[in-house]
Amino acid sequence: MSDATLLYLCIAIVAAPLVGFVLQYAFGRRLPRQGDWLTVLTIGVSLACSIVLFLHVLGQPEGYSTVLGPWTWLEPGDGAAWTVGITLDGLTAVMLVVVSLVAFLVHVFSMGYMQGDPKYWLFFAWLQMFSVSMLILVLANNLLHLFMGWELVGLCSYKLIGFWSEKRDPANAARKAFITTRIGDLGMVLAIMVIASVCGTFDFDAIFAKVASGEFSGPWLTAAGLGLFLAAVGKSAQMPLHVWLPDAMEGPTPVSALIHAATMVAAGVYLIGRMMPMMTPEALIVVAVIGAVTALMAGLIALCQNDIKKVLAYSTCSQLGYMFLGLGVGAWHAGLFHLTTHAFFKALMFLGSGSVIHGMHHEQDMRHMGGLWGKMRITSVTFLIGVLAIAGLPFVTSGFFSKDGILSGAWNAEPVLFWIGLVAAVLTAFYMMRLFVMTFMGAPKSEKAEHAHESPKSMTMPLVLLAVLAVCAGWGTWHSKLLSPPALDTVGSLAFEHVGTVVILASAAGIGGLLLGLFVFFKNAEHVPDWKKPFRALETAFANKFWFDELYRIAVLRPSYRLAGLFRVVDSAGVDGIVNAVGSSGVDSSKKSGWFDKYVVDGLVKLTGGICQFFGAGISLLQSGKVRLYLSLSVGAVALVLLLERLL
Amino acid sequence: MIVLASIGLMHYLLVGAALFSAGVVTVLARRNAVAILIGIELMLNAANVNLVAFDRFGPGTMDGQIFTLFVFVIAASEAAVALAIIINVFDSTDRIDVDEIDALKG
Amino acid sequence: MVVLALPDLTPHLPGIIFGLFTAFAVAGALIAATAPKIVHAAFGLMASFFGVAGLYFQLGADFVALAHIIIYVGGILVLLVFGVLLTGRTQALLGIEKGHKTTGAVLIGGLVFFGLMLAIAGTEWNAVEDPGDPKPTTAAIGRAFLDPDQYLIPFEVASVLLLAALVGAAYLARRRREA
Repeated sequence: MSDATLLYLCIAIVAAPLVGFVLQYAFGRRLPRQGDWLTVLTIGVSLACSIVLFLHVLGQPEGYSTVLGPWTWLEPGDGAAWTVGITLDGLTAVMLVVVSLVAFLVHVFSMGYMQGDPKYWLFFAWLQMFSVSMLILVLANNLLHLFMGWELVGLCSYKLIGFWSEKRDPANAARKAFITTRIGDLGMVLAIMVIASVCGTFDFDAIFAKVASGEFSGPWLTAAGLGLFLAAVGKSAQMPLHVWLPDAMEGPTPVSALIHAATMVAAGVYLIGRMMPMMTPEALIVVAVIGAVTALMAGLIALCQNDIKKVLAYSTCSQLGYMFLGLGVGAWHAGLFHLTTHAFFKALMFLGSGSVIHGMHHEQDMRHMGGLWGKMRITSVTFLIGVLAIAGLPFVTSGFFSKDGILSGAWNAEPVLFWIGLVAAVLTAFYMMRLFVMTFMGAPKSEKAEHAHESPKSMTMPLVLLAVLAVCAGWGTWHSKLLSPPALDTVGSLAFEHVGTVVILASAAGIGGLLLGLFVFFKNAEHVPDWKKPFRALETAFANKFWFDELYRIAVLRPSYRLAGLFRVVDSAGVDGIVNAVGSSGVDSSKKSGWFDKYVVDGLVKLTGGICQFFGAGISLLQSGKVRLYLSLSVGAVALVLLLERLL
Repeated sequence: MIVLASIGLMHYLLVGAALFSAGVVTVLARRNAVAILIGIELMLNAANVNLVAFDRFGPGTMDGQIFTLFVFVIAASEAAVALAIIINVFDSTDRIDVDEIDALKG
Repeated sequence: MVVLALPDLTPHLPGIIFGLFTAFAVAGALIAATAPKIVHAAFGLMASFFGVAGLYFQLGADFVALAHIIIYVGGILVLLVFGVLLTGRTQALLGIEKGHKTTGAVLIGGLVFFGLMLAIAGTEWNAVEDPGDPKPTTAAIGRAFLDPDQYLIPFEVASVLLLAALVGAAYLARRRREA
């Protein structure tokens, strides 16, 4: 394909949903079926173009990378123009397909899930805008352009979490998500400033060239990398900025699937993956440690959640932690491969939970579920596939290949991180089995569960397709071709490999966790309380999410209020006092000059006034107090002067 | 055939004059204080157009544009203070019509 | 075969664009001057602002044009609309004045326009005929503002002025305690 064709494809990918958004936002309410077909069609065009691009890149030799453009965007002066362009390489191609495919399926799913919502049309409009933003982010070839997409997805996420803004909780959750990710974005802004001031450019390739040539190095490079990582921590809900993601589950479930599982939260991983050549070893250690800690802690918290979506949310945090662990230990390929597979199976499970919630008439508490296996057959089977994939059932599911790649990377780089990752893997399998058993197995635990029904076709078809992908995405060698790491000097070995010991340990972890979960929660459900007694204290910690929200309330919010109070005191005591002092000294001095005024000045004024009064008696007729009349007279006079000067 | 390509200083000055006159009409014909403020903004704009046009067709320094930016600052301050006054007057007298606010009567 | 010969519009393009922006600016201004409803006047003002911004672009003042849009449309116009909303309780008095007073205003406006036209036509401007292609201005403006030999002091004074206006406006608009 020629460059022009590629360019048109890329433009079509972004333009189609953008047109869809504009039309849907403006006319959606009045279109037949409130315009859902329109948005599905436009995102379908995006998907088709993405697949064509993907196949094209797949047909190219390994390490293929090209930049369309760049074109001049803004000229701030001093020669260095800001440019825009499109990066096209294996990573972009994979991300394009993941984003547009999941977005497409979520659109289709929403046609069933959001049926009857009063703002049905608006939901699709914002879904479209989110897709546009995410695709812009992925196609960017420079940091500014990427940052635009980055902020746009944040905005769309805000709009969609708070979609039911008439309720209190979604509105608060939306605000929390927006503000928390803003804290991370501060890091991104700082990083962009550092990069711009050192390199004088925002283009990825140019930045990497400066890094490779040693022009951009040392502490500033590490600082820039850490700034970018701070942004990724916010966006990808890593410790300690993970608190917004579970709350974001207040949004509609398709949104959780698209934004808070498959695409937007993965943008942080994508960012670090994309900027890998400029991450110094010091920065990467931070990435790996934060990733590992998040993987473990979020897994522990997920154990004690009872809301089906909250479990999935913490699981997402944990899996994103895995990806950062992979990137941090240098397993670039495995980390991004896990991003891909995770997008499929986590979107599958979120949509599956959406199907369950729909079938249960908006019940989200797993303690009221159970026994859905027979009633919601397609949902149950596909969900089971998702559970097996995330647990990493050996040699079949995609999750096994990607997770194993990460663990092997950790094994080679730092065994401590490997063991943390392994524990997290056991936990993942365990709590996922708990979720599955509580939701689908056993006897129905409530009225709603007994009358649950399977969802319509528009909701089950995406599940089936995602289930197929959750299994098959790991087969073959496509990923080692597309996600082959670029030549990196800073990072060291990046080979994607399966270390024998790790394969055995990881398989054992996955299967062991699953079996343990099945044993504990299915067979011995009534003995669980006894069995858990020794861990009571720990369990409180998990259930309270390690008190992160409380910590922020005490450590951040309360001091802010205190500080505000302190400032008020300073204002009223200090500033006002000074002002008053100045004022009273003014009064003193004016008293002294009073007598002079009274006798000397006043006399003169009175004299002048008398003269004026004499002449002014006639003119005071004009003094009507009407400002417009004064103005008319003065402007008219000016105009007359202008005219007369020319005419005479 | 008339060639429209030669847009010169004169054209811009005429646009400025037209804007200024529209501003004058707004200020004189309206009785609503906010509308009068709108007229003032129009007149400031007219001056700005002239300044930028002089800058473009002048000796090539930046001064015209920089003066325009200063006018922006003044306009912003003026709008803020004027609106504060209007709202203050409105709060205390419940009047927005400048003809009824005639405390300046001699 | 009849071939419809379209005239080549390329040399006229600057004129056409100029005409377009001018139409926007002047038509918007006229709406602002005459619209019976104050809200419509505000929207006319917005159209006028956009037209003027277009003229700035055509004059090669890219930074000024963008600053104009941000400050006027994003700031001052919003402020005006707030003013309209906050004082909107007296609906009856918002219209344009009927009768002789309007006539007077239009007369004076016409006089001003005529006078300005005469002044413009009668002055020797010494304008540069062809100023060449416009260059990016942002960096140059930034330099000029921060250069102690050029505009550093006025720039700082302007910021003090803005602060004073801010404090003053907040002070004036505050709600008084019932004495």
